[in-house]
Amino acid sequence: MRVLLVIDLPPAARYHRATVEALGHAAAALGAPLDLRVVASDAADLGEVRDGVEGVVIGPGSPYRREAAVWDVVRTARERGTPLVGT
Amino acid sequence: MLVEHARNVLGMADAAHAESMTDGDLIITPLSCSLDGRTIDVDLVGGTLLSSLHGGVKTVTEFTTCNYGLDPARRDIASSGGMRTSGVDGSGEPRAVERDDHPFFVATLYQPQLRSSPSAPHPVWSGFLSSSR
Repeated sequence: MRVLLVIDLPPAARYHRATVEALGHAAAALGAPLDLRVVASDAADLGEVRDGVEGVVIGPGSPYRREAAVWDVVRTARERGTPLVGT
Repeated sequence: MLVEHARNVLGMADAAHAESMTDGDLIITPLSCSLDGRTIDVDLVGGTLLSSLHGGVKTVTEFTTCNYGLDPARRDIASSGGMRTSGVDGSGEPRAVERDDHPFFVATLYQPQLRSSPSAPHPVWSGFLSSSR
């Protein structure tokens, strides 16, 4: 399944790592391959939310570099019924 | 996610987060007691998706890094316009919300990823991926 993770924390940061790892634990338990795309808020692409992903995660680490982009991603997932988790 | 809800669902055009903005209607404000680095007990609200993900357990203990939360005086924002409160702390303040008009829309003021392991994936992430297939 294709999942978009919006997060500004760098990949080595504890909460970034924990988020990726937790998704991996869940995917492994489900026996489902996880295609995780990670983007920073200032690089988030709404087109991808509309057409490319089956789930969206808003990662920890506010304030976001581009908060309005995060709102746009949330709105798109909300309106389209795309599964979404924000932590 | 509550700011997006307030702005676009409830029509509060200047709803804002006090961490990133200084003007507007600051609905997300510093917590009276920072939760950063702590564990919190979250009482799950019966009948919610979050409660069912946890198999009907009444209370879960979660790790959190959050310093900001919904202004306690604005609690109604977390239970209107399709949003509902799914988890509360000991004083009844919302710590998790979800939408009742959406297949899987869950937001938490804690980090379920911090209590996941290969042998015990967190139910929020398992449920999320199950609904994403």
